[in-house]
Amino acid sequence: MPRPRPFAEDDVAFIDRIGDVLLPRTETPGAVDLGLSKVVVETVTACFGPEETDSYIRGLRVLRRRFGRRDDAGLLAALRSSRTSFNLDQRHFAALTRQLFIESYRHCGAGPAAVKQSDLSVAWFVGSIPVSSNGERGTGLAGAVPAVPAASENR
Amino acid sequence: MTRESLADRTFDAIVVGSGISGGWSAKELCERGLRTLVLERGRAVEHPNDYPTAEFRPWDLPYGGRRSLAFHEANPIASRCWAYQPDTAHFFTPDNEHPYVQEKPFDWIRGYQVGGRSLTWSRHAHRWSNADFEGPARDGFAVDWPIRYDDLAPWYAHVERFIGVSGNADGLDILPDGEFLRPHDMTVVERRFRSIVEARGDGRHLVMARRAALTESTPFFAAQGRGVCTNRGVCERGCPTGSYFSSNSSTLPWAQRTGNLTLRPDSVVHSLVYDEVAERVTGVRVIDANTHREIEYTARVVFLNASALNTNLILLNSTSDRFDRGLGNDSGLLGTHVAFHSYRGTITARSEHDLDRQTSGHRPNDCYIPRFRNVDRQETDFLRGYASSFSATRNSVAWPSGFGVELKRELDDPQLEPFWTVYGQMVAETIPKVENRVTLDPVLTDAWGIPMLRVDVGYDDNDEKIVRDFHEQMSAMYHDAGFSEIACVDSRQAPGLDVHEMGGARMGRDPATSVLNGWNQLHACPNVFVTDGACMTSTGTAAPSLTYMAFAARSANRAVDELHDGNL
Repeated sequence: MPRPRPFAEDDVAFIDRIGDVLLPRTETPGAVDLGLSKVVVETVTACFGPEETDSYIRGLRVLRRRFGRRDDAGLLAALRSSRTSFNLDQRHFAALTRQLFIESYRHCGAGPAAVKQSDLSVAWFVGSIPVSSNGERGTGLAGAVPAVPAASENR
Repeated sequence: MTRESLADRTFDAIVVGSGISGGWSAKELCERGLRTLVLERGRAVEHPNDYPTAEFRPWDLPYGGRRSLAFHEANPIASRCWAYQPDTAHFFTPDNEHPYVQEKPFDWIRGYQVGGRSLTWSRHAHRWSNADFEGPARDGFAVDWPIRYDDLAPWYAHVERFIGVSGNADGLDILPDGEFLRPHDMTVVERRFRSIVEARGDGRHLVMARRAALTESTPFFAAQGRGVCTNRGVCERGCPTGSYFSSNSSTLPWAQRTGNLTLRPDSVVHSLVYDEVAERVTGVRVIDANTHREIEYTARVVFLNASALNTNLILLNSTSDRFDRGLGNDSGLLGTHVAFHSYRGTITARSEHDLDRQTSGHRPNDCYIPRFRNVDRQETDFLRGYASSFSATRNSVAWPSGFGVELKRELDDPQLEPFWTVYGQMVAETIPKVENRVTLDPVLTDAWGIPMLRVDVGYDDNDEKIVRDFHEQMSAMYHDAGFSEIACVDSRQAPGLDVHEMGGARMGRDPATSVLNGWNQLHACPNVFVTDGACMTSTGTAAPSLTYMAFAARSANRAVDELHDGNL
């Protein structure tokens, strides 16, 4: 039997707003466009125990009251300094919300990150290639690495 | 439903279980011309049509693939297994489907379906060495194995040629070489660690693990319908290309082609039928899992490959006037000396060398440190030793530090962590003991009226010492390599979670102290062969699956020879 959803409508709206602050629309869709707050709410409801969920809700509601007005700059600044300025419940809420938005952005299948993060690569594994100039992680899909390389030096 | 006629229920051979060893028994028996019935208690799983999540992306799974509370609560035992995930759960047996009694905590991880746990195994395919087979005799525990490496070596080769094993010829006595396909590549940090470990000069080595995954295409593998591994990194969902070995993709279809195989899923084996006059087993009592109807199948030989503990259960439940304590249990030792591998120790660290290098693609493999303690002589205050997996990976930043536009940029263009993540996990031998045992519950029965298994298996002081030594020795090697943030963890996980439970019907030379002979036959009933984990006299440190397969192939051929010679 599904557990009752612990969130009020205002709670969901606040999570949606945090998503907009964390992952805003730029030239690509942001968290609101991708509907990620729904995933965050569903995940908290289904995947965490009563203690964690209660702490999450307590933290959420304090912050919702504090940033109830449309003060995105203040909210962003508060989230940035959450380790020092928030109490335990608020830190739990802020950290878990950020983590779930990051995960759902990677997993949503719509953002540019999705392609890289869910790569079911068909390339041969190579244990040592140079790091590109900008430090970006190689995916094996760019054609820089042959699908079947010369015999490994392990051989 | 049509009732099967007596002729339909009569075979040359019956194999109980369709997992990694049952598939091999079936293949060999069918190839040698025996009409063979394979009984599988679970559902049918057809390669590759029954791998429903094989092509899933994270967004195809609820909560991005995260395990929900309901998922945990429905199957708390299975949930403790790392591989039991929303995308693989259909290959694991629900806890309540086949309950058992835990005298001590024991996480029995099962896969009741055609193919069994060959669909989810980790694919390590390492030969045992004489250091393993001679261990009990040298160190004075259990009983002496009735075979040595040379007895099994040709069968290891036979199996390797068919399943395909990637690896290097490393030339180590402790880890005999096999017939290998192209090895996977080591990362630059793994190579660096290898040179440091080997420079010690004390018999320690780091090699690529030998893995049952096709890294090369050959006409023979193509004839099996199997292709080269595409390195997708989601092996436990079932491999659509058949690149990693499973019964489903390989041995069972091969057996099917002979025309000699009959595969019967949903068939729960109750017991074996013993003929007091013929002094042989004449068949198998089966309960249809769907109809609960009892059916009896007959055959000249029976192979038990139901997985170690279920094979013990079947033998213990096969009572008769001659064998009132279980089939073949003249010694009274059936169900005792159960052992397992201890995976409790892990050690993680960071390496800040080689930060100008990264890796490309997935690798369905890791490295391996073969056992190096007490190999040539006893040198510690504990018996036997351990191997370890090892890997060094260069990952993207897991949790970017930015907020807003900056965070989005970090996610869209992931950067590499400024370190390599290093990981090792112990695989330790445990000592078989008479008190580590399984028995039948005198009262409780399962949904098919079969007594529940009582599992009384635990760790001992030797196991505690091994975990400590693993952490000490690995920490020293990590320090030598200049790794930082070294962290040792003892999971204290219950036995069973290793999924390498073994023994209970051990092999030996003397019927008074063992259950099986050197050909895996019951001493007291030679037309019954046990070639799954139940036969193991000791556990060694190498993953046992390749050895089970070699035993199955060797014994199946022995059985056919004996039938031809009129000895069975």
